[in-house]
Order: sequence, then structure tokens, then C-alpha cells
Amino acid sequence: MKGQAWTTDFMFAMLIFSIAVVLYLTYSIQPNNFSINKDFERFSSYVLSDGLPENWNETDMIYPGILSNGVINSTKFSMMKNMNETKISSSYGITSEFYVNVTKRDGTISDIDGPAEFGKYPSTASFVLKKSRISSFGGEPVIVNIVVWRW
Amino acid sequence: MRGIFFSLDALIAIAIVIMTITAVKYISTSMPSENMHDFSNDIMEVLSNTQMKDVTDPYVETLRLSGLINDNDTVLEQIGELWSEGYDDEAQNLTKIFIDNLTRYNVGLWINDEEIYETGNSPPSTLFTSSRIISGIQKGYPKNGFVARAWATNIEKNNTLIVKGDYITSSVKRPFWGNNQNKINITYDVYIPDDAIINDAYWFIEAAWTDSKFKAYINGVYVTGSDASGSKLLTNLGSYFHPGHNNATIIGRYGSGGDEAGDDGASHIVVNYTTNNPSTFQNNGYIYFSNVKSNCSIQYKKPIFINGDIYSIDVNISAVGTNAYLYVEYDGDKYLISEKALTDGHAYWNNSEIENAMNSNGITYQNISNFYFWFDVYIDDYSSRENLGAGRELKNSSYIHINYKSYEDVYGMIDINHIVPIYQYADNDVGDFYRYLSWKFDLPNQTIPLYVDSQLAWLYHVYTNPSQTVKANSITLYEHPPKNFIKEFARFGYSNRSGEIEYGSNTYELIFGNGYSVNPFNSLTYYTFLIPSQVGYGNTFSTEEDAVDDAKKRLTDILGTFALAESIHTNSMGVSNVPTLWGPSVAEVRVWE
Repeated sequence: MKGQAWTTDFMFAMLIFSIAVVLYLTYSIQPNNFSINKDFERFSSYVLSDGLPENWNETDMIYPGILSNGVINSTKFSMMKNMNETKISSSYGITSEFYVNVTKRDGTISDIDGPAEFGKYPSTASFVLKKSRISSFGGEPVIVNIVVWRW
Repeated sequence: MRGIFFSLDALIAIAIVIMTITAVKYISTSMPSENMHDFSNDIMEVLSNTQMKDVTDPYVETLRLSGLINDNDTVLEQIGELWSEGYDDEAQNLTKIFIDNLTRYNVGLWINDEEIYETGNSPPSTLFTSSRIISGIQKGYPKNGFVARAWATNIEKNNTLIVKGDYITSSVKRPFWGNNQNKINITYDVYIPDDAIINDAYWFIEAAWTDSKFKAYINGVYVTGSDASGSKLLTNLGSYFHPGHNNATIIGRYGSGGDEAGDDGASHIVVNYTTNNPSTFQNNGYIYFSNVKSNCSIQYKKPIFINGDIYSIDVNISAVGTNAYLYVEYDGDKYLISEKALTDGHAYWNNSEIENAMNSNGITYQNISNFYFWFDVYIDDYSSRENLGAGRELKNSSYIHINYKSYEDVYGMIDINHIVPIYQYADNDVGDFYRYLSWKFDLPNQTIPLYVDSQLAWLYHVYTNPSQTVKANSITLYEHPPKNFIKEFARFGYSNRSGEIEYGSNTYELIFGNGYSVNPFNSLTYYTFLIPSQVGYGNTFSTEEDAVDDAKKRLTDILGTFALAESIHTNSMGVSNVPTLWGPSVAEVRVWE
């Protein structure tokens, strides 16, 4: 009995250890955590800028931004809506996915050439970073929700 | 059993770990990583960058209809303008439109630490702020509106004309004893503006010797009660004078033993009048002598005070006699320029002769600028005791011409003379003569002081060496010793070079040692200042009428009680968005939890 008991304990211990290792690998030393933070900061600052050059278009763009003179420029926003997401990601130098929308204070999404949003919404993402910033569009303050995520 | 319990414990622990990690993951992905610092910056950016022309909020539309909205402004500038113009409620409501319901944090806007609007209670000590300078706004000063300037095209001023007597003597006693029967006739020219209304006039006469007798005439009319000896104050003389050129004549004669008759330099004529002429300042660089007639040689000492830098001097004497002497007196010493024969009744000293003679005695034009000096003229060899001789005359066409640059530009200014009554006298010498005297006066703000001048009835006890000190606002202007003793301390004047004359209260003091004193009652001190006859563009007002009213008021305030603007011309213009007109002010967005 002594020998059997030890074997059962050992098996449980191994199981616990294995679970701990899996959890650690999954949540604690996930290598993507660092790079998604970096992507998030980079995306947030680039998207809430004039872009480069200031009056960029898809042809001469170094990286895009939605602002002109400190407020949301509907033309720039529309261009980003219609732009290939990979093109935006690569111009920002990020590998994460992103989603941006602009809402009014009552939570309704603003209308900029249709619903004011671009990017992919993170419905099944594993890692999501989200930030709300305030800007101005159409003579009123709006909330710009920025999401950067990964599977 | 021990093994089974242990295993269950481990399973429960694992479950807790998994739940915790899951919960942490849920929270980290669903809660926005909002940052108060970002919010304060964002809100400031929104206020600073949103143009009012884009704002279509219904409340803003009502303000727009009321004319309170400047569509060229940003929201922050518009809030600042409303605040600065006193529309506090409107500024608050506009701010509320832009910062309410933006975030779960408390947010507020302050300008120059004055709260415009806040969404919560007063901020705690820890908060995040974002500041921005708004140029062109200041509480109480509208940014857009009208400015106006005004100038008086016709004024009425109450002024005082002061004609100071010179030191003029001639012998009335024979060389050894007794009256030589001579009479010295001194005629001062008194120029009163042609449009003047004469309010009052008086004449204080002090003879050269205390015993000598005299009579006074104004425009050839004997002044009742003027037959006196020593000194006499003649009052209520307004009716003797008229606007324009007047003559005031003293005829001095032998008294009871004194050698000379004439004027001891302390006499003065004072005429109070009202005029519409803003500029009555008479010193154009030509200083004329008074007419003097005598049957003996003539001594004429002319005190001169120039409120500016002297460049050149020439003297032209027209006289009846044989020859003329010209001396300069400075700092208590007397130097001969030269003697000249009167050729066809004239003697002329050019600048080189005068400057060279002065320089050879260590005196420069810089020394005599802004400091009393004297030119002494003698017609024939002067003696205080003579027998009656041929008629001599120093004509009033004689002049001293001084080319100088005034310290102040009097053009376009209203000049005012103001007599200062004695404030304090102490340390009695004899009779009405005192060793300490002080005068106090207030110089109105926004005026330009020219100078303070004084004519002093002095008394010197011969063979003494008393100290002489003059102070203005505690600044020592003259002090003997170490400077020379001035026997005839009949005049002293000064201008403002470094605080001697200030806005507000001013003090002028004379302090003498034993052996010298001044009679405060027969002395005269006055100051001359300039008042601008116009005011420039002032504050911005929302209406043209208010701007013009303000300009008129500013002009009236400057003129004060000294002058009345009978006719004011104004000019106004609209101004808008002048970025440097006022301020700047500091706007601050504060965010706190």
C-alpha cells in the first residue's frame, strides 16, 4: 500500500506540475505580450496624428493618421476605412490586428462616410488592448476607441 | 487516505489559480486603459483646435444670433472672449457643451485660476492638468470691438503768468553825501494772451535798498497806493491789465541814505487768467531785458535758467551810453566777458567770445544747463554813488539768445504754471526771514514736469560764511560747502533729471546756516508742467459710443482741474482679433478622479 500510495501521489504531482507548466507557458511568459504593448502604443500615437506627410494619400503615404489641425479629418478617415489593413499595419510597423471607431458621447457611432470605424473587431481575440481618447469631429467632441489585439 | 486528501487539495488549488488567471485576463482586456493625463491633453486639444464655425450646437446658434460668437475663433478662444467680456454664464455653458459626459473622470476648465466650469466637485490636491496660453484676452477687456482717441481742439485753461523782476540798480546818491536827484525808471513787459480773461493780478515790489522809495505804474496809470519805500505788495490789480502787451513800471528814487534805487530781484508780477490758448509757454530761446532809464550808470543782472542742454549763446545790447560791460555769474563767482564801446547804440557778443571767456574761467555750457546763472550788464562804468549825469538807457530790444535743446518737447502740450504756497518755515533769523523753508506740491499723473523755479527774498549778514543747502525730494541739488557760497541766492530752479520731480507728492527745501535767510512771504515758488492735449487709443469696447465716451473721459481726466476741453475731436475704429491687444491669459484643463 505504501508503494501504491506513493505512485498515486507522484502521478498527481506530475499532473499538477504539467498544468503549472502549461499555465505558465500560456499566460506568464507569452512572448507576444511585449510586442502587443509596443504595437498598441505605436498604433495609438500614429492613428491620432496627421500622418506623414501631413496631407497624405494612399500613393505618397509613409504612414496614415486621421487628424488635420488637431481634429478628425473625414477625408483621411474615409481613406483609412477603405485602405487595406495590412498596408496600415506595415506602415506603422506593427504585427497586431487593430480596430478603431469614433462614437458620440451617447455611445452611438459617428457617421463618417458611413459608420465611423475601420479595422477588424476583436470578437475572438486572446489578447486585447483598448484605449479611449477624445478628439473633435464636426464641431463636437467625440470619443475615439482604439483596440489592438492578437489571436 | 492521506494521498487522496493531498490530491484534492492540489486540485482545488489549481482550480483557484485557473480562475484567478482567467479573471485577470478578462479584466485586462475589457477595461479601457484610460489615462487621466491623456484626457486632460485631449480635452485641451479639442478646445484649442475645434473651430467655432464648425460648431452647430443649438445653444451656440442662439449665441451666434446674439452676435456673441466669433466664427474665426477656436472654442478655447471663444470661451476666453466670453469670459473676458463678462459673459460668464455663456462661457460656462459653452465649456459645459464641450466637456460634459466625455469621461467618467471629473473635468474642469480654469482661466487665470478662475473657474469657468467643472463637472464635479472641486479638485483634490492630486490631479492632471494641461495648460495653454490664450493671447489677446484679459478679464474685463473685450477682444473685438472699438477703440477711440480724442484730442482737445479748443480748451479753456486757468493759468498764471509770472513776470519775475531782475536785479536792476542805479545810483541815487552823490559820491559823498545826499540825493543826486536821479530816478531810475524800470519797465517790465507783461505779455498776456490776446484772448485772456484776467481774473486777478498782484505785484510785489522790493526796492534795491530797504530805504529807497518808488512808485508803480501799469500801462502808464499810477497804481494807487504804490508810493512806498522798501517793499510793497500791490493787490487787486486785474483792472490795470488788459490782454496783449502791457507795461509795468517802477520809478525808484532816493530814500533816506541808501546809495541805489531800483529792483533787488525779488519783485514779481502775477496775473491769473483764463485762456483758450493751450500753449502759452514763452521761452523760445530769446530772453529780453526790461527797459531801464537813468541819469547815472546802470547795473542790470539777468538770472537765467535753461531747462535743457545749451549749445550756443549770444548777447545783443541796445543802449544809450558810452560803453557796455558783460559779465557772467555762476556758482557764486563773477567773470568778465568783455567791455565794448556802444557803437550806434549797440554792443554784440557772439558765441565764441562768450564761450571762450567762460571756458577760460573753467565754466562750460554743460555747467550752466539746468542751473541758474546770471548775465550782468553795465551801461557805462558803474558806481553806486554818482552825480547826476547824462541820460542812459538799456532798451528792451536787448536780448540774450540761447540755442538749446529742451529736455521736453512742449509741442502739442498745454503748459501750466502753478504757484506753490510755502509749506513750512522754521529757524527764524530776523523779522520774517527764516533759515529753513520747504514747499510741497503734488504733480498730477500723466502730466510732464518741466521745472520748479523759485524767486527768493534773501537776506545776507555780511562777513559771515553760512552754509547753503537745497534739496528736492531729499536729493541734494546744491550744497555750500563744498560748492561756492552764493551771496545773491535770489533764484533757484531745477528740472527732473533723476527723481527730483515725481508724480504725487514732492518736496523742495532750503536750509541755511547762521548768516543767511529767506523771507517765505515775499518769495515765489512755482512749478511748470505740461498736459497732453490728446489721448491715444484706449481700451476696446463693444460699442463705438462706449469707446468714444471712454476717450473723452480719459482726456478730461488728464486735463483735470487745470483745463477744460470746450471742444473735443474724436476718432474711433473697429478692431478684431488683435492677438497682442491684451493678456495673455492661461487656460487650464484639470482632470481628477
